[in-house]
Order: sequence, then C-alpha cells, then structure tokens
Amino acid sequence: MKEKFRRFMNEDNVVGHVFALPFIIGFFLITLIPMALSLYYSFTDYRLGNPISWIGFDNYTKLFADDRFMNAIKVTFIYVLTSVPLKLVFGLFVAYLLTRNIKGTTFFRSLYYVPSLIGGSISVALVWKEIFSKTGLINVLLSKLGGEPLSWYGDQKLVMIPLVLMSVWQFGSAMIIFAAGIKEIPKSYYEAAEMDGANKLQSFFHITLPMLSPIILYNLIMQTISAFMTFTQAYIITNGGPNDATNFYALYVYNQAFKFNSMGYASAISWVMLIIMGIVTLLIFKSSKSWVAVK
Amino acid sequence: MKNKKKLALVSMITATALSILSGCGSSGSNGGNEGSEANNSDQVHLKMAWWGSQARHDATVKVIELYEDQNPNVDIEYEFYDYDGYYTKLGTLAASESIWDIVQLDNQFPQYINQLEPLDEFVDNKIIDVSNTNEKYLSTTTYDNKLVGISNGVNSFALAYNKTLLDEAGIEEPTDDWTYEEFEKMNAEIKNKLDIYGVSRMDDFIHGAIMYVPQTEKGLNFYDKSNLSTTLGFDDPNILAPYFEMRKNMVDNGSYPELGGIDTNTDSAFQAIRDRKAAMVFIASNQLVELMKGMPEDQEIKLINPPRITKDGEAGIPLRSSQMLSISKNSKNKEEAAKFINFFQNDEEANKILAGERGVPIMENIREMLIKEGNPATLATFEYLEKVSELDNGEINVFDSSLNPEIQAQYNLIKEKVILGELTPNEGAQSIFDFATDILK
Repeated sequence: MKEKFRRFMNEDNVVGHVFALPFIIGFFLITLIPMALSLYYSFTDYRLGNPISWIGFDNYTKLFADDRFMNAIKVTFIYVLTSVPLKLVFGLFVAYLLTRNIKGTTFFRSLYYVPSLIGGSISVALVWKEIFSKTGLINVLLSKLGGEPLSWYGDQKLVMIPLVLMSVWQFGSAMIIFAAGIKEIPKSYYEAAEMDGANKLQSFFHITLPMLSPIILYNLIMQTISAFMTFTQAYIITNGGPNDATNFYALYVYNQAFKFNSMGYASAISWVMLIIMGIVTLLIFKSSKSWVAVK
Repeated sequence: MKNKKKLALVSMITATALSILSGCGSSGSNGGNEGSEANNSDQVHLKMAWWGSQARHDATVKVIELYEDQNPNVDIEYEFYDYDGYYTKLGTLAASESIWDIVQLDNQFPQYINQLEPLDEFVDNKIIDVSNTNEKYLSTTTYDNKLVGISNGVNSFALAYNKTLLDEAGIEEPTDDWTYEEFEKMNAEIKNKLDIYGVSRMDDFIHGAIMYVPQTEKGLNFYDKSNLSTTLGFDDPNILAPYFEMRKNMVDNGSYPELGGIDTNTDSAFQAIRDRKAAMVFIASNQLVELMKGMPEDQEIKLINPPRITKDGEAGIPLRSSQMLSISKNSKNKEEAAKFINFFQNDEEANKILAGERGVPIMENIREMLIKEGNPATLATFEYLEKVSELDNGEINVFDSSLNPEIQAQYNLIKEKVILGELTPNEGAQSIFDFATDILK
C-alpha cells in the first residue's frame, strides 16, 4: 500500500499536478470563484451586509442611464489614448538611446527602471500630488519663468495632464522590453543599410521599427490593459475630481462597491469593463495584421 | 536521490497546506477564539475597532489596557483606522456577518442596523449603567424605539473662527443670530482686507442639506424623521438652491478656496487656520481639540453656531451623538462587551484618559469631572454645546439614510457643477432632489 502510494506520487503527471497545486488552489480561490460570484452578483441588488435578491438585467440597463458611468468611460478612454502612446514613444526613445554603445548603459538602464519598480504606489502618487499642487514645484518654476501658476487639480481641463505625465514617467518596464528587442536585431542589417548610404534616422524607421513591431504590439496591449485599470493615482491625487474629470472606471467601481456598498451594481460595471477591454484588445490584434512584421 | 525528491515534495505540500490553513485562520480569527474559549472557560476575547486621530488611538488603547488590568480574564483585540478605511473594512465585515464585537458608529449606522444588538436588555439588567444621563442624550442613539448604542459623546456643528484675525482686520465678531447674508459679507470682507480665504472648508452636504432644510422651516428635514430617513423630508427642491448660490458666489469672489485650492480634507483645512490662510472653518464641535493642536498661542479661536436664513429663523443645529459604541448581533460575548461599554462610559479614570475627545460625555458625573480638569478646548466645546442644547428644537433628524454615502457624493458632484457654472443653483437643487428621490424609492 505504502509502496503503491509512493509510486503513485512519483508519477510524472502526479508530481506535475502537485507542484502546480498552489497555483491551482489560488486560481480557484482568488480568481475563478470570485469572478463567478461577481457575475452572479451583477444580476442581483446585493448591497454589502444586506440580503440578496435577483433582479435580472436591471443593473445593466441602469448603467446606460447613469451619467457618472458614461463620464467614467469617457475619461478613462481619454487617459488610455493619451498615456499609452506617450509612454510607448518615450520608452522606445530611451531604450534606443540605452542600446547604443555608451559607457555605463547598464547603470542608466537600472536608473530609468526605478520609477517603474515603485510602480503605482501610494508614495509616488503623494509626491506627484505635491509637485503639481498650488504651491508645488511646477508652479514655482512656472512663475520663475514669468508664467501664471496653474490650478492643476482644480481645473478640469488640466487635471488629466499630471496623471498622464505620472504614467509616462513610469515607462521603465516598456523600456526594458524594447531594449531587449532592439538588441535582438542583427547588426548586419544596420551595416548593410549604412553601406547603401542610409542615415541613422532612415535605419531607425526602416529597420528598427519594423523589426521591433511584434514587441511594440506586446507592449501596446499590456500597457493598454494596465491603463484601463488605473486606480491609485486618481484615488490618491484627485479622488475623481474636479467635477468627475478623473473619475476613472476602476475608481468608480471601487466607490460603488465600498463607499456606496452597491456590490451588485459595481459587479455589473466590472463586467462591462471586461467586455470593453476585450473588444479593445481584439481590435488591436486585428489591426496588428497590417503593421506587425512577421518574421 | 529519490529520497531527496520525496522530502522536497513532502515539505512543499506541508508548506502549501500550512499557508492555506494560516490564510484561513487570519481571515476568521473569531474561529480561533472559540477554540481557546473552550479550553479555558473564563478567558474572554473581544474585538473592538474605531476610527479617529492619533490622540484618540493612544487614549483608547490606554483605556483598553486599563480595563484588561482590572479584568485579567478579558482580552481585547483592537484595530483602528481612518474614517474612510474604517467604513470600508466594516462594510466587508458586515458582508460576512462578522463585524467586531464592539463597534464604533456615527450617524451612518442605519446601513449596519441588521448587524447590531439592541442594548435595552443590558440597560434593563443594569450591566450598562445609565443613571447618570437622561432621555435627551439616550435619544441620540435610539432608532426605531431601540437603543442601538451608547453615545461616546455628543457634538454639534459649528464654525470655528480666528478672533485675533478678525480683530486685526477690524471686522466685527459674528453673533448667535447671524444670517447667511452677513456670513457671505464677512467672508468677502476678510478676502478684501486680508487677502486670505474667509472659510477654509465647509462640509457642504451637512451645511447645505442636513442643516439648511430644517433651517427653512421647523419640522422639515432633508431625510424624513418620521419614517427613519427612508424618504426625503421636504417637497420643494428650491430650498436647496440658495446655499448652492452662496457657495458659487464665495468661490467667485475668492473668499472660499476654488476647486483644487486647498485640499478638501479636514487636516489641510485645519492647517490653513493655523497658518492664518483662512479665518474660519466648519467643524464638528469635538474637533476643536484637534484644531487647537499646534495652533499658535497668540491666536484666539472661538466657536459660533452656523448662520441661519433669517435673524429670528430656526438655528437648524441638533445635539447629536458624535459616535457611539454598539455590540455586534453575532458576538459570542455580548454581556462582556456590554460590561466594557459600561466601563468606557462610566469609569472616571478611563474618562480622564479619554478627556472628552469623542464629544461631550453623556454622563453628568463625567462631565463635571472633566470641567474640573479644565482643558480650555474641552471647556469651550462644553460651553458651546450648552448653547446648542437651547437652540435644538427637538425636531431635527440626526440619523442619515442608509443610502446617504451615495446621495452625499452626488450632492458634492452637483455642487462642483454649480460652482463651475455647468448648472444653475436651481437646476442643481432640482437635480440632487430628483437623484435622491429616485434612489430612495
């Protein structure tokens, strides 16, 4: 019996599953089951601490009459459409510089990666809040240069700028991936281009970019998804204001769920978000056929 | 080789199992407590939580330790949070019906009413002694004819103003019967003479809705008092418009911080008073103690009741429970929890430590003791509350609707739209009236 168990445990299949077990358990407990529950809640009027009753599609129909929800979609899209391209361009630019033969590139690469390490953390958001505050660094510089200090967090037209800049500043992870991609491009291509008389700019646009396109696609999708989920900055810095100008999707879900206790409604919003993100990702994939070079 | 593999496998499984077990343990440590109770029948574990400032945390922890010293069989496990964090945590605990044995609640409590054990029974069998207080104070925590908690202290709304600043500018001090008109004028004057803000922060929902509606007419309330705040207590949306208009004017003439001007949290608003960047701030009266911390000594701060609509109109301010201690319906040790609450409310030594920071204590002997101690900020609050108890007409609703957080958030959003000129004050008033009516259905 013992021997049998021993042999059973040592079978390749069993060992594999046992090693995967921690992940499988975690996946079920903190991903799959909560997701299934939230799908169920989205069809109920569940409020935290209260009894649950089934209300069908009411939450979903309510969504489309909810101005704050529509506004949340709008501002989230503005944020994604501005922050993602800027971040990618900036990341690519720095990666390009850092893959050239300059002394100490590894040092600089680590240095530029630091902002991404501290990620979407609360401390960074607080620092950012101070920098752009009424009497913060940016306004001091502005008035030194003879400009008027601006109310960055009070003006709904300006408020997106500090948030987007903060996201662009954290270009590190995109940069590292770009840098790895650039290094993969064979030197001989550039040498051949040089022989044919191409300048640096031409070889960047005609060799680097096309060769890098699969990596651009990867970065684009990852950054788009994470931008859709932006929460900390809006929560800490602006709390959605002024006038809901930075009331991002994730923040609105959080407020509905934990401030207003409307768990059912919040679940419905999350599922719509999942669908929207799915469609956007799909569109990016579809479009990639026309611009991603297949090796 | 094979043995090593097996050893690794076994330790992996054990580690996984342990981490899963410990994970469950920490999320439901109530379960753990039950076990130890069975082993040692006279050991009692209680869980308690509260929100508040650092001063409150330190004092409350000291009181808990004092109680544990006197009752070695009781072990109180405590947690403390800031206000928002507290309610977020409470919401999730309420969802799993496992809120702390002793909970601190303010007028948001109707949301959690299903989770609370009425205290009437403990008062009847004298576990909680209320002989030193009266009906008026107990009514601040009586909901649907049940005593849902014992108030830690009563407070009311007030404006704190810097008398020194007003004197310097030659501006007359406000009087008890001042009106919004005078208030607005005074703010403009402060702005013109001193080039600082008049007010650093007003709690607009409380001021413009909860207080303004009863000020309009005796008996009216933002939430209907007669049906436990399940509907609005007034019919005419235009009641809300004048406040919006005043707020817009104040931002336009620079006497109130523009959006993004001063952070809207109380810390920043209080700091603006200490830094003399504003002359007044809207507070709950027990916050005076906090406001005075770090206040330059040469500045004299006084409390005044908020302005009213006409000189002989309603004051609109009630005496209310700033916060109360309640017991969880699912607590295993309700009686022990009640004993602790009794200690917290009635013990003189404990209240010397707490020093009235949660509001004016409802027990007369404790009040007298604190008056003898004579902390100036506490005395000023007591004095102010004396005045409020005369102004309180007894018909003001001190409880919020269970949907209040959502309505309040919408109110503040609409206020911003009015200030930005996207809505007129009347449109804004109509809009919040419709919103609230709709979700309260």
